[in-house]
Amino acid sequence: MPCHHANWRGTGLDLHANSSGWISRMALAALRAALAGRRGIATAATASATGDLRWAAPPPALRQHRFLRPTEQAAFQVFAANTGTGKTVLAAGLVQAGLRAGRQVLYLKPIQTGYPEDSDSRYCMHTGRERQRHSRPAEPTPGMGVGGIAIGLYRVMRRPRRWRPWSPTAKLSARTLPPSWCDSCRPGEGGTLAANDDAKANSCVYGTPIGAARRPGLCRAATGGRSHGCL
Amino acid sequence: MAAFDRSHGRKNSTLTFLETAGGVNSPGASGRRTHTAAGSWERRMLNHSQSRACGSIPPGTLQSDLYRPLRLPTVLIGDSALGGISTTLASLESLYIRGYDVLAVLMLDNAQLRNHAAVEVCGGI
Repeated sequence: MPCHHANWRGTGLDLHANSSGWISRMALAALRAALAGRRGIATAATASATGDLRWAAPPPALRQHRFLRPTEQAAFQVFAANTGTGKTVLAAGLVQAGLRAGRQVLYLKPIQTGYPEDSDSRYCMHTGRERQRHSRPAEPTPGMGVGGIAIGLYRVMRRPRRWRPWSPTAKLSARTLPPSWCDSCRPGEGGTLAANDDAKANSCVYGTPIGAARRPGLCRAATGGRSHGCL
Repeated sequence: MAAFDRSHGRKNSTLTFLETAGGVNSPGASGRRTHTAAGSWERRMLNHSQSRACGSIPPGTLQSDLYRPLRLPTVLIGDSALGGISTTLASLESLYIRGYDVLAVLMLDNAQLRNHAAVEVCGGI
């Protein structure tokens, strides 16, 4: 496991689609080299990692491929060089930017130190609520709801019906929520969550869509009443 | 948002951010449990993971290895404090060598140390 990365990295053979639906940068470079008639390993892509996001998307000719279409839900993960570098602050900023642009935003923190006293999902959720109280986001476009969901550890690791090998991808992509969850789940009153968090988090989503707090049913209506609720 | 859209290849989709804990090579969830309130299911899973190491997370897994199967494009938050250039570059290389697609390196602005300028130059990014 620790060294299997070293084999395919740089060989140009990593043709897997990543979770956002696109093949990786090295695979793209290899494909371009192949199309240009060059043999061997493509020279490493020199795209800058800061801000240059174009390399993550395949050329237009490949976009119709079954495995290369973008997924319904764009997913990104946030790593940090160290603890205390402002990861949560910047992640909350990204969540805010998404909400202001009228998106549905899902924030996940599967591993949390110091839980339940310290909860970053609660931080992001309440930051969002505070912000929304002060400035109203743009009116939601048809088919899109303004909502943010913060989910804590216990929701992600919920007890499965049947034991399966631990597969985070399956957990994240195949998870469905009951259609009534955004009506039935309420956050703790007064900006802090109640003391029975553990019992609550086991059974219930840790928080409620930010935009749906005042208007119950907004999210379900906004997604066209599809059975997967706010996702 | 436009940058995320370009990366994803589709506009106005739902965004998901998965935030990791600690640094890039911080340990993931270990097999040892500190919660005594673990239910019977958790105890069974714990026994399961200890008796036969199949499918579950082995103790001592780094988070960079733990999240690798998700294959998510990654945003790295750099360290803007003293000594942050080294840790940022080290974690960037840790991500690269595991095959992550690092879309962006974000840092808090430290006007005195200006780590972001150094990372931009020295990191070859």
